[in-house]
Formats: sequence, structure tokens, C-alpha cells
Amino acid sequence: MGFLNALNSYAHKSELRESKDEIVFGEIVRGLSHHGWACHQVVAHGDRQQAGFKVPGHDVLAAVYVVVDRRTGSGALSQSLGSKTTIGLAAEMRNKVSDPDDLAAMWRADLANLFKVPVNGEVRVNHQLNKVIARTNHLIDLDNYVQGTTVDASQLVPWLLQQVDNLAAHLRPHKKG
Amino acid sequence: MSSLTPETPVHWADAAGGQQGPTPAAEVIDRIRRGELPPGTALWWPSAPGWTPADQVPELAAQLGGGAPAAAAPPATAGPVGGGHATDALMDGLSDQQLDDEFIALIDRSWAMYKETEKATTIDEVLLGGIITAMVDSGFVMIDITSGSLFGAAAAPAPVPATTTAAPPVPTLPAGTHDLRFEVPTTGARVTVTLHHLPPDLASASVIGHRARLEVGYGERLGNAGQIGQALRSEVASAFVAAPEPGTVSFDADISSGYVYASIDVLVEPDRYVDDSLTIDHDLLRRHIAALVHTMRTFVHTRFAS
Repeated sequence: MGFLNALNSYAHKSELRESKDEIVFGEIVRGLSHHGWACHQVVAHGDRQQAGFKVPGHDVLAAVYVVVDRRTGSGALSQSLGSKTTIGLAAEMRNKVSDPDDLAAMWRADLANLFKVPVNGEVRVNHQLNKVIARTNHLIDLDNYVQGTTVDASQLVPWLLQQVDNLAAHLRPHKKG
Repeated sequence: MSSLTPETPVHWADAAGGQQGPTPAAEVIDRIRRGELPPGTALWWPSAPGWTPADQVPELAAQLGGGAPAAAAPPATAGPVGGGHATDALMDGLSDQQLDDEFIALIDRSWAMYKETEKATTIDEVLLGGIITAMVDSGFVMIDITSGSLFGAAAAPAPVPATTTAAPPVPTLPAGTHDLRFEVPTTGARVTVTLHHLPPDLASASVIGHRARLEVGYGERLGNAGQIGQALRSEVASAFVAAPEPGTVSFDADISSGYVYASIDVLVEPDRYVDDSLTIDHDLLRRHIAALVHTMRTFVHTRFAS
């Protein structure tokens, strides 16, 4: 029976180790919900989890999307990443009405962003008619928040809010009255 | 009256009152002469003060035989872009402020309806966010999640991946179905939640309200082979439940990690937990989940007690 217990214990620890991204994702959903945002979208499969939040009362933002994307696989890059995980953020602003002049302005802004790759905090702004979206990606280490059975993501949510403020600043000039 | 030359493009009203043109004035005059159009055909050109019968335009009077009797021209139904008495007639009696207010009200109502549709198709995910929050608040960590969104990633502005490593294809759940698994890190006790949104469109939701099938399970690691054997027998018995009905308790044994789960199916109304502004009644949701988890834990303890 000792062998069975050891086997089960190993399988259990392995499950927890592989679940670090889901654990962090759960903490993000909880933290941003307590911030007053309404989680309205959850898409999750494999090692990629995405949540969308409505941002009530914000002067610029309508919604914020957070993606936790743990790149795992057999590739050398994936293996070298270890517990490193991409946190993607997309802030969405909505204008109630868009007109042809907006489309021309959008085209100019999108062209300027064409070659921007939104990694390491770089922000890319894109337009979709009434929606203007600013995106960025950061690489984080899940081990900073989950160690064994200890979970502490108290610093993660304030950091996310800071990144969202930065995205909102990029969108504010595109907001119509 | 502004100058009108034979080359000036003019709009004219046909017998049915429809706006025609622009056509060179000379061509319209020729048609009047041939009798294809009445002499009083209403004309309009960019510098004209308004729609004017052709036989009352001084520049044309001579060409039309100097004051032929003017037949009543049918009213034009629409003016050219930027003016015309038909457009003015459309807005007759309404101030600019009233028209602006109506426009804004229409746009606002459109967005409200858009949000109604959005809520109808995402209310299950709002509920899911509430369940995650309730469980993590209570000290659980989420160790597994698979969620198929109705809107899906296509409608969401997903951040661009930072790396280009190709992700392997992964199985996805049908839209509106979500699987969650939570664990208490210190004890290893687990709670599983499966949520399936039943009427996912606005029309169904408006008629019968939102419904969802909620399956909540509680699991613990078993300590000996006898318990695991018993769990397997319970799982085999549960396999005969092809389509669970509300209140059906089933058992599931996970040999690889040594867990046994007791689960129950219930039907819930997401509207009870989520209001129109997508605010969740966290207290009610937590109370209902707690009741289900408590009962399933009792089942596990009773059936598999050491």
C-alpha cells in the first residue's frame, strides 16, 4: 500500500505543478472581481486561459481581457521558459458612433502600429470600427506566486491594474465625447 | 434666379414624384419639347433657390415657347444631398435639438439591446466568474479549467501571443459548457464544477428565462486499496446513469491520483445570481455551492469511511 500511496502522492504533486497557471488565473479572476469588474467571458483550454471583464464606471475602458498563456511543449524555447508564462492584456474602448473620418484616423493609427510587437510592455493599438483596443504582453514567473501548496498573488492584481492604466492612457486620445 | 445654361446638370421630378438626374438642362428641355415631360416639370440645380417648374425658369421660357401653360409638377420626394425641400419636409416641425436627442436615444437604445444580447450569451460565464471567486475566496485554488465560450476567442480581442511556439491542438468543450476543478492545497480535498448553459440565445432566455445544468462534485484521496476497490464498484454502478436527472448522485474514481468523487446534478437559474449590470449575488451563490459541496462530502464520508 505504501507504493500505491507514493504513486498517488507523486501524481498529485505533478498535477499541482502543472496547475500553476490555472491557480494564478483563478487568483486573477477573484482579484479583479473584487476590484468591481464583472467577469463576463471565460475561455480556457489546454494551457491558455482567457477572462474578459466589464469595467463599470471607467471613463475610457469598456472591457479588459486577460490571458494567461503557459507555453508548454517539446520545443527548446518552451522548455527553457519553465514556469515563465505570458500574461496578455487587452483593454477595449468603445465609441458609440464611428464615422468615415474615424476610419481614416484608424487607418493611420493602425499603420503606425503595423510593425509593433506588443511584448515586454510594448503597447499596440488597433481599431475595429467602434472598438479601439490596446494590447500588451508580459512574461511572468508563476513561481513568484505559487510555491508548492502556498499561493500568494497579492502583488499580481495591483500590478495588472497598473498595466491596464497604462493601456487606458494609450486609448484616451481616441475616446470620443 | 441663378444662371442656368444648357450644360448645367439638373435634377427633375418624374410623373410619380421621384427624383431623377442629374441630367444636362438641354436634354430635359428636349424631352419637354417632345412631350415626354410636362412643361411644368420641377427642376433643381445646385445654385437654384429651390424646386422650380421648368416653364417658370426665365432662361428656359423662350426655349419652351414662351409661357406654355404650366402643368402641376408632382412634388419631389427627396432633395439632392445637402438640401431640397423634401428633406426639409421630412424634418418639418422638429428642431435640431429634438432631432439630435432622437438620434442619441436611438444609438443608446441600440447599445442597450446589444448589451442584452451580450448578457444572454455570456451569463453562464459571468456565473462561472462568480463560482471561481467564491471558491478561491474560501481558500480553494483552481487547478483545472476548460471553458467553451459562446462568443469564443473570435469575438474577444485576445492579446497577441508573445512567442511563436506552435501550441498543440487541444480539445475544447462545446460552447456554453465549462469544467472547473478546485483543491484545498493543505488537505487535497477537491471540488469539481460543470456548468452547462441550456438556453443560450436571447429569444429563449426572454421566454423561459436562463437555465443551466450545474454538476457539483466533492472528492478526497482514498487511503487504502479496499476503499479504491469500493470506489471503482460505485463508479461502475454510476455508469448506468446515462442521462442524469436533477438530484442524481454519481461516483467517479480516479485511480491515477487516488481520488473518489461524489457528484450531483441540479438545474439552476443564472438570473437569480446575475443582474442586468452583470453584478453577482455572491452570498446566494456561495450558499448554494456550499450546500451542494456539504452534501457530496457527506456522501463521500459515509460511503468510503475508513
